[in-house]
Amino acid sequence: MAQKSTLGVSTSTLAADMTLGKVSGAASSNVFETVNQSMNVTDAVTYSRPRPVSISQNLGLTDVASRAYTVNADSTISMNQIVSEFNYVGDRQPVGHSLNLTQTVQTLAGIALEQSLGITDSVAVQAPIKPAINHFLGLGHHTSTPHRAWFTENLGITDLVRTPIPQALSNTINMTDLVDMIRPVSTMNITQAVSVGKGFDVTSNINITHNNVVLSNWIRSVGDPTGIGHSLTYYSDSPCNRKQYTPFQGDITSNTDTTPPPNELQTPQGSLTDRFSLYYPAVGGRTYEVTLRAPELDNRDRNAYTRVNRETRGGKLSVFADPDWPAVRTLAVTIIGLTETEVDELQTFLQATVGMEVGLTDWEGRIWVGFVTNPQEVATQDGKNRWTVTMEFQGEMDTAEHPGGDDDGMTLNLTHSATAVIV
Amino acid sequence: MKAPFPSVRTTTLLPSPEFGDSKGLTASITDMRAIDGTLYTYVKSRNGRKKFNWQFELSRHKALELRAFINSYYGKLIQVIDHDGDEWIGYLRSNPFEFAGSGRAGDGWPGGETMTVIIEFEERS
Repeated sequence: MAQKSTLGVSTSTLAADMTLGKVSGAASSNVFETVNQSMNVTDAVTYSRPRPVSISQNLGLTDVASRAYTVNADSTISMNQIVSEFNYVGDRQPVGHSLNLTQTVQTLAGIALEQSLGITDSVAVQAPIKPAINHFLGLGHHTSTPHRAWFTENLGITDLVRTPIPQALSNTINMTDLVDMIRPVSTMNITQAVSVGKGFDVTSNINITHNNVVLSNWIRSVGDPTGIGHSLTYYSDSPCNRKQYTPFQGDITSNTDTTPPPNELQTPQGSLTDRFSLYYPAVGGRTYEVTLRAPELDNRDRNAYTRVNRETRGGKLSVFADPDWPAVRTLAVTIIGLTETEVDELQTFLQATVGMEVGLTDWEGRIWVGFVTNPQEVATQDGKNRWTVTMEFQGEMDTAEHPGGDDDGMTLNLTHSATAVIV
Repeated sequence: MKAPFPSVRTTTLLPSPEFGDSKGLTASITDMRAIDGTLYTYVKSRNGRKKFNWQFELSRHKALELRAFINSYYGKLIQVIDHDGDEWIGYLRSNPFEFAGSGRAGDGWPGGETMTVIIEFEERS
């Protein structure tokens, strides 16, 4: 078969030998057949003028074998492209090979798929041009079952450039592992060796990027719902410790919602006197003030708390109290031996400050802030110019330190609240 | 007295109470007599719970310590080891807690005064 063209003469020779043979004596259904196909295609182009032409070969081979027994399906393709004097200086036409090989094996049992593909491009350059050699290899293994499958990819890339001037060698390998529910492992071994006659820098740039795409993020936390903790207390039993202010404070890591008693006794703001002063306002410059002698013994310091008492059906007692619930502290005193003038001054003070927050400095120098709850209490004359009064004062002991004493008129910004409970 | 029970942290040491302390059951009984004279009793046994009354005479400073202890743990379980060495778990039941100045005191009593307080204590169960 010959064809004329303006470029030259192209001659194609197709020689095909096809042989179909049967095994003799195969009268039953078990017929073994052997099919051999050999096809040789040769394209030869003779140039009449040195113009670039193209040569392409498209060859598709399909072997289909389907048997109940083990068979072999092999495809062997040998492609040789020999081009001489194809490139001119400045015409940088690459030599390309495109191979698409697909092996598909369907089996019910575990099987190993393996593809070994070796491609070698050799370009011998005799002129100082810069050829480019690129290999793009795409290998994909697919199996229909997720169990008992081994994937093996052997990939060998060799770039050989022989040139008298420095050229660039680059290897780019992209490996992608897509694995669900197990740990993906990617192992890459990259070796670059450059042998040149002159010293050059050998640079290896390896960029590795791990992208973890997580569809859900399950945050695990460690909790201690059992409330396990420890506590420690101690005491030293001695006669002094039964009299002194000595609360023995240990340590506790659980049930810390309670404020323990202070370790130190509060120091009185004033000095120990035998006087009992009432004044208004409680803090700041005083507009009303009355000072009496210290009250009698048998004074009362009442501390009433708000609690909830419950008793279960089985007779178990439960008591609950919130520290934020009001607690009422009342100071009840009786003062005797007052003169009528002092009684009048006291009643004048009570009349002027009834229901108002007043200050009180007791005989120990402690400062209280509150109000007198019984201004209607009568004063009794016990003898000649001897009067007795009883007073109840509801409030809180002031824990603030007053600089410069309690009567220097300095103003402090303190806020006190008192709750009156009617019983 | 130790509190808060069971993770006790604070211990307050008190002298032995005054004579006159008491210890009793909290059980109660209601009797009903039917028209035919039959006697019926309705009982709240309260699981054998006991309540105690102790009166202490304290120094002024110890009274302030006891008040601070009560102020912190008046709603908490308290462990009490009494003057007989018996251990009780329960709640302070007094309300109000009244500290009364009972007299002057010498130098051996910190605060210069003695104070008396009555503590009512009731077992949990």
